[in-house]
Amino acid sequence: MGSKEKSRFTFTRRLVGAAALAASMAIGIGLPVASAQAEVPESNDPIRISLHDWTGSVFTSTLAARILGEMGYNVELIPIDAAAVNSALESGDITFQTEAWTSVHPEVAGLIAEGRYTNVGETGLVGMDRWWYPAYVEDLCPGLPDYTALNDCASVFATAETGDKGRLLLYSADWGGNDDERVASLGLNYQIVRVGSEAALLAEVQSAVQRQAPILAWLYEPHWAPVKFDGRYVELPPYTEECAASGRYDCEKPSGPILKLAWNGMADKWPAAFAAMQKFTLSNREYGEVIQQVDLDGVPMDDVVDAWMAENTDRWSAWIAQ
Amino acid sequence: MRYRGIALLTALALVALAMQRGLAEGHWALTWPQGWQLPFADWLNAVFRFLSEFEFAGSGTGRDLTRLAVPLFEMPTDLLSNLFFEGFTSGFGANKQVLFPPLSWLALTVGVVLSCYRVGGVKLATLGAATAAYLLVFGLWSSAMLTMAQLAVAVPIGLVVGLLMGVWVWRSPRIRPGVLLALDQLQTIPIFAYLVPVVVFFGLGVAPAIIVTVIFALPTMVRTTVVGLEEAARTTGELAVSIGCNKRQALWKVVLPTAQDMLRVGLNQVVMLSFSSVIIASLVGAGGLGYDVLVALRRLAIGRGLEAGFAITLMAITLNSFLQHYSTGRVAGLAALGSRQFLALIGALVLGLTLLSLVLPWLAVFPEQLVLSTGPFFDNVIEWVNLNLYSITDGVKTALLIYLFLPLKHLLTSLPWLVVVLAVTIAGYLVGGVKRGLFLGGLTLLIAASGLWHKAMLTVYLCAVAVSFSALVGIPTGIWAGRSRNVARIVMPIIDTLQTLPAFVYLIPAIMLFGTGDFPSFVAIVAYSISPAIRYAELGIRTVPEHLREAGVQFGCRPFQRLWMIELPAAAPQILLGLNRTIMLGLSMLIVTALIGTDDLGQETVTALAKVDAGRGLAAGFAVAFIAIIADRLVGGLAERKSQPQRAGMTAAGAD
Repeated sequence: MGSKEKSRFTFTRRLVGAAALAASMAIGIGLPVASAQAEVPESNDPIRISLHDWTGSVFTSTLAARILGEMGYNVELIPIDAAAVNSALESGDITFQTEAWTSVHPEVAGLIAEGRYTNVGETGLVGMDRWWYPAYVEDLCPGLPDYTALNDCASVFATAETGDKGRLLLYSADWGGNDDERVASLGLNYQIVRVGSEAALLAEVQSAVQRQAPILAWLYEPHWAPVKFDGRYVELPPYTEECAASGRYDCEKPSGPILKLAWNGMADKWPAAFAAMQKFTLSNREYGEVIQQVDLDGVPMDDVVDAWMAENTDRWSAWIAQ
Repeated sequence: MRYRGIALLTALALVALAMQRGLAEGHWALTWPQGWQLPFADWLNAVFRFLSEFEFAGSGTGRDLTRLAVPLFEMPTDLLSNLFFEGFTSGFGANKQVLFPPLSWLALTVGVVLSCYRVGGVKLATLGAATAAYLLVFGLWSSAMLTMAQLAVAVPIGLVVGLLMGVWVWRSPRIRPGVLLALDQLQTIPIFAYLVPVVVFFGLGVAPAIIVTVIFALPTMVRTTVVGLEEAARTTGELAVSIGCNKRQALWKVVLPTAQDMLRVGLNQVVMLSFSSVIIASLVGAGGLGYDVLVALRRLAIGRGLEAGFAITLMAITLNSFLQHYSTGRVAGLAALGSRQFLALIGALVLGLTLLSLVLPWLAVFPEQLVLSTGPFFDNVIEWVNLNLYSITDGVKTALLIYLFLPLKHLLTSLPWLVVVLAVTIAGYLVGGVKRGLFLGGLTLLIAASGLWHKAMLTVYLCAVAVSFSALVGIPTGIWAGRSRNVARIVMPIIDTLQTLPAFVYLIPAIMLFGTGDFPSFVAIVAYSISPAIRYAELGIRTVPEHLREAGVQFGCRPFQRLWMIELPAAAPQILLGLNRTIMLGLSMLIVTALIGTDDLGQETVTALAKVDAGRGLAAGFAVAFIAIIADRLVGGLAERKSQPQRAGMTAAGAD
């Protein structure tokens, strides 16, 4: 754990070591690393990649920085709140964001459409969010996971604040999701309680699981919580476009691709870096494995990134090849 | 006067009741009609866009101009972070080469410990060594150095600018009310409200982080300086003039030194507040320990969050004690060396050890085998409490919610706006005359017109409960600590810890035990805002002039009479300042309560931030600031009226 803290911001220092490693590997597979640097980098101004506070983002951002570093770019990782990144991408204070979750950031699509920043493409990761409950709740509410059982079990999920209604614990309003409409049109006798941050929501879930108390909360994937806590998702009517278009939202939430976003000027200023980042893709499976290793097994992030770079040399070499 | 006021307010309460009974729901006198709403957010957006995009005669847009200032903050910080932990390099990415290594951890530790020893003797040196060891052993060195590099720039700016502004404001009584008002706003407006403008004007990274930190820490320094100088000028009276000082000499040689106790409290607050904004600074690109805390908590790694959180506290306490000792100008250790020789010794040691680190790798990077972690220890403690004591914590929470929080919440949110505006106006008139009444009533009216009424009343409810609690517990504690050194020795470190330990660190466990909602928010506000209530009351009582106390003894006062009739009135200015700070800090915690989950103005600023709507965030921010002004002027005014005549009499007697 210690080395992770040390190197998160000083990863560039480690690049010397990583570069030596990469160079030796590059010689092995005959990749012309040195010659590629003749025209690249086009500019020595820093490419600023946003770094958010969830583990997956630390992984993808560090990885992107490592890969651009291999190309000889000056890369800075900028820790920034995920809510503040929108304006920073627009102004160019952040050049590149590895993860924009369209499933929970409904404003992203609009901002892309307005031309405020550039959509670099999908990461290959897909975000999915659902209503979740711990497995032991099924003893108290045997009809689950079907949503029609929820009303019979409202008292199971009720708390002092919600009275005789069940409590549905959700993320803050700016995460979207249209759950107010969903609860109303499905006729559920539940009161929505919103928390202000993910840490607060997970704290409630963990506390309930420790006490084996009933809880109904919004969780999403890929994430460590559904891996760590044994539980299931409530089954709602399947998603259809017309259910969303009607404004009733009486169905599942759609899965949302996770996008890569860039400042509008990136493609002109660092074309090779932009091209490499267009090709940069991962799968839900490998992303999930990384989260599990870091968050649940306590492997330092640096070791995880090193291992990924070593195991996937072919992939990232192809991304940075011009 | 008092009875007329009570009668008026009682009548108003009856009117409110009658209105709620008699008027239909949605009547204009109960809820502000939508059609009357003033589009403050749009107006603020227009001003903001004008300022950032207007071309100033060929020199670029407003945004370009403010960005010229960025290197002023970035260059010294970059220099320090290169020195502390990054090293000096050339080239980028794969072509990077190290020109000069960063200072070895041992070199920095030795430097810190020796400096502490010289300034504060063995005790301070032990504290310095313990802090360095803590950072190294828990693997927090690099993060801590990054945080330190930024605060090493932010704290001096806050101190110097705060002191100079304080002197300036003190010297110009005409602008004083206006400036102090504006400064209070700066501290209470939730940072989320001006994050978008700060990012637009100053970009991301070090510069905005330092600016946000200074904005947060500065107001306390200015206010403390002004009060300190006022007190000092009163006690020194004509002394400076009578010994032939001109105005400048009088200030620097007589008044400022006399005010040094108060200035040291200001110093303490600047350090503490700067460290407490570390988490928020990491939202705009600062990195360091604040970011470590956020990442750890999002993973629910409570132990890790606590480790990083306590690192912030330890560094704040060490730096504060160092500066407190240093400001006395005394030399406690290594007195044989002159200050130049001492600096040369430190320089030689630091350089020598760093050069040695080129050969000995364990000097460059602290050996990983020695790095520890409390690991799941704290998580297990929390789990144990959760499993065994939950029924108690839940019982306490539920009782408080049902009998105190929810009724008050219902009462405040259901009051007709018209009644509240009138009540504030009358209360303002009673404590400060017609002008103050109209001013405060006007501010209340603006909040109603902004369409944020409901959220504003939720804010008032939560803060009123928490701040009252802080004052009721904090001021007596401070008085007790002021009369007993032993009590002070226990209480002061606790409140330093409470003020700098990032609230989020203890909030996650609090949420696990109490659930989300108003109760953990209440805990957060109390924990943070109780500190100035205690600190300033302690200072006030401790610095009551000895001759006043003796006079009391000679008149045959019993201890309680002495406290009530002499010490409290004499300490009133400090206690009032503490109350003012408590209200301001309580409101400034809205930013944290928004992260727990509330529906108040703090949450509004977070939502606006996500939507990149600067105007909407600022509108909510100003609403918070207006609440702060109203509370301060009402409570402060009430207390002023009570204590003014006695205090004037006392100090006049003292000066004679």
